[in-house]
Amino acid sequence: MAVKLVSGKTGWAIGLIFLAFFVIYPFLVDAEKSYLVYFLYTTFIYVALAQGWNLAGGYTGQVSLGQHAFFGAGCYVTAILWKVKAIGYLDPVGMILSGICATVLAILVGLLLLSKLRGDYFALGTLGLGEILHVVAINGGHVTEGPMGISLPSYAYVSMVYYYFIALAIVLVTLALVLLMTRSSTGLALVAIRENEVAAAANGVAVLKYKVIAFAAGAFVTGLCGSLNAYYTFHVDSAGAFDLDWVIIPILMTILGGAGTFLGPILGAFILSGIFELANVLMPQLHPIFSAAFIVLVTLFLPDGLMRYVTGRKEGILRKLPFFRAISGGA
Amino acid sequence: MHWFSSLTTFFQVLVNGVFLGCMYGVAAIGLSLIFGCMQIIFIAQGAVMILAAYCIFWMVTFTPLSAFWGFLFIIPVFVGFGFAMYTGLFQRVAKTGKNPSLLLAFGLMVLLEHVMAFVFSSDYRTVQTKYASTALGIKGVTFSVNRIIVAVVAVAATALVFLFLKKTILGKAVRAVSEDMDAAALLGIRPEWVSAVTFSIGISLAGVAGVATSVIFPFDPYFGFIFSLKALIAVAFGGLGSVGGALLGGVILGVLESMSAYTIGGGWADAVAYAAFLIVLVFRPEGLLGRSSAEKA
Amino acid sequence: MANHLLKVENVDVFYGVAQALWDVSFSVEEYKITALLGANGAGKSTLLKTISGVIRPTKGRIVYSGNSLVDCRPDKAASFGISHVPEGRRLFASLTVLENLELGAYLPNVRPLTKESLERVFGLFPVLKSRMRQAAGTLSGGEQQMLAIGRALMARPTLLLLDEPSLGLAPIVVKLLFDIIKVLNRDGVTILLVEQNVRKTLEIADYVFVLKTGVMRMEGQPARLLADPEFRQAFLGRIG
Repeated sequence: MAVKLVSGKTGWAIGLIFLAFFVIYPFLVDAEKSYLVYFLYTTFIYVALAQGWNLAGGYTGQVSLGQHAFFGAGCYVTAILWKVKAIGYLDPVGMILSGICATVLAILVGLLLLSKLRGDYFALGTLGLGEILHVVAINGGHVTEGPMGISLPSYAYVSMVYYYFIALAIVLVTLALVLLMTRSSTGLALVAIRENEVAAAANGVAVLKYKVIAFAAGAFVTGLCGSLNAYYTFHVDSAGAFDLDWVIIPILMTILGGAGTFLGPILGAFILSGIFELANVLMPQLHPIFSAAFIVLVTLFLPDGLMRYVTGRKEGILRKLPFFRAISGGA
Repeated sequence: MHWFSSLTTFFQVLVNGVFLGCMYGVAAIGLSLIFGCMQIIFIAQGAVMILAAYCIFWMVTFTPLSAFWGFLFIIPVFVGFGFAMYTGLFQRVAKTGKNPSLLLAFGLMVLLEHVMAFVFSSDYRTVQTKYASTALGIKGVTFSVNRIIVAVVAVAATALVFLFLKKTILGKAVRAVSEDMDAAALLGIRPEWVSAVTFSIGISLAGVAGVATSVIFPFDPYFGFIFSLKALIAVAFGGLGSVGGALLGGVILGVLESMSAYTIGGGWADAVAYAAFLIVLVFRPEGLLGRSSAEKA
Repeated sequence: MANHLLKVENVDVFYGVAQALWDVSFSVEEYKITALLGANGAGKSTLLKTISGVIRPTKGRIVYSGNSLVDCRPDKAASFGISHVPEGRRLFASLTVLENLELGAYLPNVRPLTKESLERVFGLFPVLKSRMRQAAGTLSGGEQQMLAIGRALMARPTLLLLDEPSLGLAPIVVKLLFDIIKVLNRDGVTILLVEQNVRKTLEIADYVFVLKTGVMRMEGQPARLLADPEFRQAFLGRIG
């Protein structure tokens, strides 16, 4: 019964109901003061980030620890362009441009790293990339305004509603992208690469091309989020833009929900975001400890992710298989 | 760019780099060992180091003992700590694959950092020793006694680990398990036991590095992550699986940082380190001394 | 009454959802050389791995000297006196020949005897002694096989499982190998030999089992099997 819930037409219907709720809700309350609107906004961003990572990390098995590179790039591109007045407030052109910059970065770096590195080494390489960008941002002189960062005109702020809907739009774009990619021959290629790269190559799959595609697509979405974040915080500095939390939390959410599944990152994002907020409200001082303890517990007891339990498909885990396997209802 | 004003300055910077590198090296050996047996990057190595540093801080504050006694105490304590961590936590997820282990290490790191921040406060701490201001001078190059002791300990620790791996049957079992766990099991070697031992040694090395850190740098609960990264870079330089390589990698990193900091300024020194890291990863993933295992995935 | 050291009864083995062994039963008589023949993919290696504990059967019993081997991990099975020389040898390539051998005597009951065991192994395989300090990965194929067997012998096993020892070896080396297997057996080691080299196996085996796509098809003494038309058809082609 649980399986039925998450796949097929029932799944879509439920999704649409949620979507309708998300669209209507901000108009029912005072968006500026509503905690739920704020919560949903941040969660939407996490959903997008999680799915972005999921494409390369979950489906294709290429774990990236460098998402903060793309997030930060998105932040800075937007901030810099806005600072020099090349784009405006909440400018779609600016946001897409930021996303594209992140994508280009991903393609270049991806081609270099993915062609030579596997597994852990690739993950480390992406981590190194993020840290390099971090340092560049700190030492970027006039362009990035050093460690103090770029301050943006906060008087441009109009309403929370805009952020909310842009975030929602980003999520929808992300989900569409994921669906498009995974429910096509591309998706098959990605999973084939994850399960057994050598066999995939032997069967004619252009391994490098697909790895880079997944990596770049994820980067695009991550860049978009970074851009929106710049508009939201009105301030971009190296510590915030390249904070490792932007890497770890989406990964954690995806793993909690089930990497390599469609609903997994969504579920994981909502649950974990909820837990963080709860912890923040109930015990603000101990919140980080609680969240960290939660991370530990999840990895100890739910390493396969929730979706695996929901769909009831728990196969025997081969110890040598380094990354996740795709099962999941349809995605 | 700021070039060296004299040969003495050059050597001073070099020497500083070597000493710095020794510290990286000790942490790196632990990291390398843990990778060998668990196939994960134990990102919490730095946090464990800082925990040790705090232990030394409180030991020095509340007892008349000098910080250097810490080297002796920390080892058995942290061996036990590591053993508990492995059997309590990592052994469970070891079967499920590598990613849960990686995340567990990460979660542990964050947990340790925040708990330390909560309990010890986020203030910077330093540990003073009798030798803090003493230094030896040779031809104008000063060797701080603190750092000499640290370097000696680092080399001694490396030698001990190396001897353990080479000469004892348990050490050989560790090497065997990290190379082929299944084949080792067929010989009657219990992989979990060996992994627990390896992990414990890795943790105790982090402890030693932590004691070293406490007497040299001011530290706070979040200092550890950078150290984890640096230890990681050191391992990449030296090659996974090589004990001497990890120390050497650390020294190379230390020298690289020291030189960069002097010539182009502290901020970029880190970037140079990361860039070198990427270059080594891409062009020589097995490191300078490591076994060629390009397919390690 | 012959003592059956190892008894495998009605064993099923699955790889995920694919079944590899169906209701397999056989037994190994003490002090004899028992052979397991079969084509590629018949399940011979799987069966050995199930015995030594690497794989778990979903059904059936495996009893060794009164101990159940089901749900046994490889290190436990090894402690019962079973030494498995796996397919592809699985040596520790970066460790020296000597270190590989020393690790063979890891188990606490045989470790004190390491020195004597080493002498015995060097006596059987003198070439290993001359290459004692070389990394195992630098040895030739035949030498590696000898090292693998030597390593297994260091544990002073009562049952030796050999998985395709002749694979990839030159005929001269194969002959040497089979001679050594005979010697080992004469010294009291029970041997379960999995092989694709039918001719040489029939020369030394006391009893043969034939596995075909996961099912035990035939069994018997070599002479009887050689006369069996089905056997000849399957393994000897059309030769007389």
